[in-house]
Amino acid sequence: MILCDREIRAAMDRQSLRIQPIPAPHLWTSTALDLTLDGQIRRWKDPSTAGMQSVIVPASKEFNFTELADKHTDTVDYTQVGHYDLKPKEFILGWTFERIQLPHASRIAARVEGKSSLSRLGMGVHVTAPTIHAGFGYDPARPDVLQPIQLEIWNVGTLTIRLIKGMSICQLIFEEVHGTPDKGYRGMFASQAQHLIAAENKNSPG
Amino acid sequence: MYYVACEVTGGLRESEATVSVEDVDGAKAFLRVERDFVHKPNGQAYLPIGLIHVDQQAKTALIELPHEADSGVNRLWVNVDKLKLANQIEQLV
Repeated sequence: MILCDREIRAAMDRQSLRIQPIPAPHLWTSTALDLTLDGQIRRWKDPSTAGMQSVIVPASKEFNFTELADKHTDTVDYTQVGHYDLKPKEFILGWTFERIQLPHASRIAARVEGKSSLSRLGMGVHVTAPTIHAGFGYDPARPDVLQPIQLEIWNVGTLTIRLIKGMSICQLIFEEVHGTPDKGYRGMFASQAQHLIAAENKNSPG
Repeated sequence: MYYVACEVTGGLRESEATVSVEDVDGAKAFLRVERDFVHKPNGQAYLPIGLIHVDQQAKTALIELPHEADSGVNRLWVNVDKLKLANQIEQLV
C-alpha cells in the first residue's frame, strides 16, 4: 500500500520515517515527496579516451565500486557555479540534498522514481535500482544519522540539460511493508544469538 | 542491535566511507555508508547490521548489511566473533 501525503506526515510525526530537512510544502504531492539535488556529483570519464581498461566484473565477490569510481570518475562540486550541464549520453552519480531514515520496525520501505518533467527530456535518475529497503539509514545507537540517496543520473535525450542545485530531481514513494522482516524480528532466537555473541566476545579486546 | 567488525576507507564524498566486511571464506564485501554510521569505539570499526540467523555449532551468523554491497549481496555469513552487541560497543567507548 502506498502512503498518501497525510500518512507520510503522520509517519514523520511519530518518527517512523525521518527526512531532513523536511521538504517544503510545494514539494509534496498526494502520494509522493520530491527530493532535491545536492551540489556535488561524480562524473564518469570516457574510458576510450582515458586509455583505461573498460571491462569490469561486478559479479566478483570482492568487487569494490569505490576503487573503480576513483579511477573512472571525477568529483565535480558545482555549488559555486550553481549549475551543471548534463550533456547527451552523459552519466553521472549525484545525491539528494535531503537525508532519510527508515527504521525497520516502522515497516516502511520506499522507491525513488523520476519526475515526468525530466523524463520527457530523456533524463533518468536511477538505473533500475529504485528500492530503498526498510531499515535504510537506521542505527538506534545513532538515531540522528540519516543518509542521502545516491542517484544514477543519465541523459538519453538530444539536448543538454542544466542541473541546478536544489532543483526537484526525483520523487520518493513510501510503501507499507507487511509483517516484520527477519532483520528486525525479536524472538527467542535473539536471546540465543546474544548469548553466543557475548560468549565469543568475552576474551576479545575489541 | 548488532554490529560487525569492518575496515574503513574513503568514500565517493567527504561524508561517506567505504566499509568492507569479511565473510567466513575471507572474502570482503564492500559498500558505502555515511561516515557517521560507522562506530569506532576503540580504534576498531563496527557497522550496524541485522542478524538473521546464527549457526550455534559452526559459530557463524547470517547477517544483513545496511544495503546491497558492490558485489550484489545483501546477506552474508560471518564468524560470530566478528559481531558485537550494542551494549558491548557502548562499553568499549
